[in-house]
Amino acid sequence: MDFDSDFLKKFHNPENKKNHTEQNKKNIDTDKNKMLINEFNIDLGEHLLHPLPDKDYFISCYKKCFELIYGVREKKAKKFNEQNIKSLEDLSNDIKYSGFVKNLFKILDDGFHEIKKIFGRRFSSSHKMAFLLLSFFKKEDLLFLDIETMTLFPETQIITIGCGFFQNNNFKTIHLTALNEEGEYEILNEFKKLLETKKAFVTFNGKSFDVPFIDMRMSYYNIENNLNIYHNFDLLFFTKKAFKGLQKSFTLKEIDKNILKKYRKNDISGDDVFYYYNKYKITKNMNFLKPIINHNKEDILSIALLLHKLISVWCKN
Amino acid sequence: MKNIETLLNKLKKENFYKNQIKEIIKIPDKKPEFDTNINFSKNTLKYLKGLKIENLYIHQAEAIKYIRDGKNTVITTPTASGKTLIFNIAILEELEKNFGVKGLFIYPAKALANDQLNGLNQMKKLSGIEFTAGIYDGDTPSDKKKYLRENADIILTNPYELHQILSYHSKWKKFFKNLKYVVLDEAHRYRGIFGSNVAFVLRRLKRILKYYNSNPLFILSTASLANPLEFAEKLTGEKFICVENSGSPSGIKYLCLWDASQLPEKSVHTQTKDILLYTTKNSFQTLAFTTSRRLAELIRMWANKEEKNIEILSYRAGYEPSIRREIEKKLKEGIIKGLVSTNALELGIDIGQLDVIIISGYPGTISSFWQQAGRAGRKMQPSLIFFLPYEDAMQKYLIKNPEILLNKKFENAIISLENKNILSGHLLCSISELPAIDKNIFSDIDTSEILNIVIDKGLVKKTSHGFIYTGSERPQNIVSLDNAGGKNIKIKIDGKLLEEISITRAYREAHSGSIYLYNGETYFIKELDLNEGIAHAEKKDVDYFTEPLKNEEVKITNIIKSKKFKSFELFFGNVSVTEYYKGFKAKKYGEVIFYEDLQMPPLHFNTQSVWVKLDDEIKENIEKLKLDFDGALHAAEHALIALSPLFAMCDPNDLGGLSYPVYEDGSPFIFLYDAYEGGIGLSEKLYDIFYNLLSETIEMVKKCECESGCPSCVYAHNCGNNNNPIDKAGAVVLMEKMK
Repeated sequence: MDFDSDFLKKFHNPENKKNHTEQNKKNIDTDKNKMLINEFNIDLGEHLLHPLPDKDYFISCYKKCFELIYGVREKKAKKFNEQNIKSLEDLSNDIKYSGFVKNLFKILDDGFHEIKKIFGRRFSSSHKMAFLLLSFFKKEDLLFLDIETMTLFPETQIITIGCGFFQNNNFKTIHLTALNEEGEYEILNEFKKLLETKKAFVTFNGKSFDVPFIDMRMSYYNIENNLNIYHNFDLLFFTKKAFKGLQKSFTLKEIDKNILKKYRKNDISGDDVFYYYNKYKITKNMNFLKPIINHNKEDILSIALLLHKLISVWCKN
Repeated sequence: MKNIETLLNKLKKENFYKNQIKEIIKIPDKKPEFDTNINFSKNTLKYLKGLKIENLYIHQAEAIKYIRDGKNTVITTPTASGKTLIFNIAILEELEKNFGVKGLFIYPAKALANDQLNGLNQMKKLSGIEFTAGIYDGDTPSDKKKYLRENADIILTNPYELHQILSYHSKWKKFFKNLKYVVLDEAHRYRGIFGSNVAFVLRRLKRILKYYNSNPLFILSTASLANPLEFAEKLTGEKFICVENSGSPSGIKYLCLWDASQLPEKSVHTQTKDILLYTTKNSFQTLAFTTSRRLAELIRMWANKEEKNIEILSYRAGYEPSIRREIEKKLKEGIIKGLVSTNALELGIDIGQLDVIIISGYPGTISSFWQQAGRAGRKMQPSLIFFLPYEDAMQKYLIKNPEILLNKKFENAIISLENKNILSGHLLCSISELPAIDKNIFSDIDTSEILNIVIDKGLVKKTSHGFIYTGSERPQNIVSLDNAGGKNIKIKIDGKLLEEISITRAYREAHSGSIYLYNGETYFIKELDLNEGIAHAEKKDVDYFTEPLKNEEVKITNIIKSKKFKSFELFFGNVSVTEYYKGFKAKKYGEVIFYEDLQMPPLHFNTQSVWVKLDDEIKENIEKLKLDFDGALHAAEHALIALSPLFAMCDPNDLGGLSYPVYEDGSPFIFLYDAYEGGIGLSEKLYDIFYNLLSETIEMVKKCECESGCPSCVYAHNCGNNNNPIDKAGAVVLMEKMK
């Protein structure tokens, strides 16, 4: 039977309609390199030296956090303060609370994973104490992560994986871009190598988007991964809480403008990433990848600066 | 004991009775048949005892034995014969033996899953076996979904949800790896376009299961079908064993065939209300099935207006779930005496059994008819079923030939694995879920040709990791399980989407000026904008409906098979169809109230067809008898199409037809074709059973009492030539000569 292949047009974004045949030919003929790696050393200026919250600060906040006790919420915690009960230790002889308090100190001794568990049960993802878990990490443990994709759906491909990290007191970004359909597999494997020395992600909406997206794409190619063991400091939640009421829209671009006072030069919108990538695929002109990589770099930089900003707001001793 | 015969005799004295009862068929009672030689564990026995079941019926025991032997099993026994118990025992036995095994229960509708979950929770309580079961569908909150993926032993879902979640298989790893049973309840619902899509969803599921080294058993339940094995195997791609001899008992059933046209001043719907009030007033709990939500509401309203002392309620999809649950409960407890419902209650929702069922309008298939009728008959008590057909050829034929209704294995459930639009969409979904190593993505279907096409279109690329999806849209969002791909039209009200339908359906049902029916509500189509792909609609309560008038052209593109009969040759193959929509008519209570012209470009599509090439001799014979050959051919075409849904289990609009007194090679031709781009397998089935279709059609036309043709035999409501020429007598001669 004649097959009306018009139906298949629906599976292409309108931007991708033109020249797919030409594009294929070029891919077949010229695609030797599968992946592009760009590295940048970034001058974070004063921010680079800003320390992560330290353990003592975390412990002092933990001990003052009455909301860790079951049944105690903000209102009750305030009441304790009014009654001059300043820390969990002050409740260690209280008949009603002593058991809880003892357990909370045990959890503190048990370390990060037990603390994370109780935070998960007691706090929302935007709670300051969840942010202060940073004190368990060194700067060098953190991987700032942001990805550029074809669509919002992980059934389609990743274009660029952007990573930022501290190295020898410098901030460095690496951008792994798939140059063709073979390239996505390569960038995922390269990303896996980068992860080896890291212990936690710092992302912006990465809990819902970037990390599950990478997880799905790795599963697609049967690449073993243990992304779930990495703690993810998703700054979206903390920013919403810390700057509540300051702005309506919590996109990185808006945060740059209103909170970080950082102005992006020649940056494209995230929605244009696919357009430029498609242009690159048709022409094989690397210049079309530059705006994507620049955009990705700006996003990573914003995440790093936003972390600094949150530290300065939430970690005043 | 309530006496049905007395009830019927008394009815004949009512004012609304004017000899409408055409026939009363007494269906004898059936004693239960038990299997006492099947053993169960202590826990299963506790479960059965809790349900007050001492022995299983023979079909239940037979099915369980096959399942224990590791055989895919399709159970095709009547409504309320205890099919659910089979699935439940199967999974219970596994859960007891092997910790961590999983079951996936797939239901065609959300409402069914709720009821079944209650049954599973009851099983947990009664058996003492601990397990977690939950519903995973579009209404499940995301945290509960996560919990179920990680912890549930039994998940209840529907094909729409399955279609969406397969790409997230890595999150389902534990569940899929340990999947032991896939249960498809009410599987006969998976026919036509929906079924063809579901067949591919199941193949996508199987591909993922294979990736996780999982090879579960399939258990299907269906209504009675002519082709349960063929259907189950086509739906799943697995070999099956069939259990069809039911051991469940039933009381005497009286099937009362009611010809509403004996009282022309009252419509079928008004007479439905009259019967409903009569039976409920006589303390017979009654459920009336209608064909639309609007009718359900109207009949309830009329009944309540006329009789204030008896409360009649209505039931339909669209009510709040809590209201529906309450009605179901009250009906079961006997508190509600009379209810008017759409087919929403036809599905396996537990409402107990009732005294009287009124089937007002043929529900489209014999299996639906018996699912509705199966609601009657409380604990071996006699029960009564009224059937009130509407005025159309097939419905009228059924009350003249009730043996067709009584032969429950008459219909074939049909699905197509050959529709290339459907195949290509699911192929792309599947490759987006897992890279493909081989060009044949699904083990039982040759997909290499379509794969080459999608590679050529830049949607799939061969890489060193297999064929991967390279499209730039999520394919699961594009592929709808309710249509066959191709161009779609969005029906919108003030910019808000009501429904998306295929362009072929839009030409027929959503052209400018048409009345579009959606969930039993009526919408006026202000404009069909083909360039934008939008039909602009507004909600409008009207008491008329519209039917398009069209002419067609059919061109044969490829003959796949043929067979020679005495005086004609039968073909099956591919055709290209062009339909010219020239106008539409609006009808109220069967009367045409106005005509309107339409200006639409012709609709062109490629599909499958069965066609007849007649020997010239037939023409000569008919002309010798001074009959109109063109009219005879035209009438035979209409009659054949009218009866086809009886065999192919489809909606009359799923098929198109055309007759040519002189086709391209000079011979007379009759075409019957699938009215969808790519076809959905109907024509191929009609090719296989054509001789039976021909025999029944002859009977139908001959038995019709009209003189020269009517809507109950050879008139087609949507004939572009206004049923002209038509020669009923000629059609009978023509078809008899064909035999």
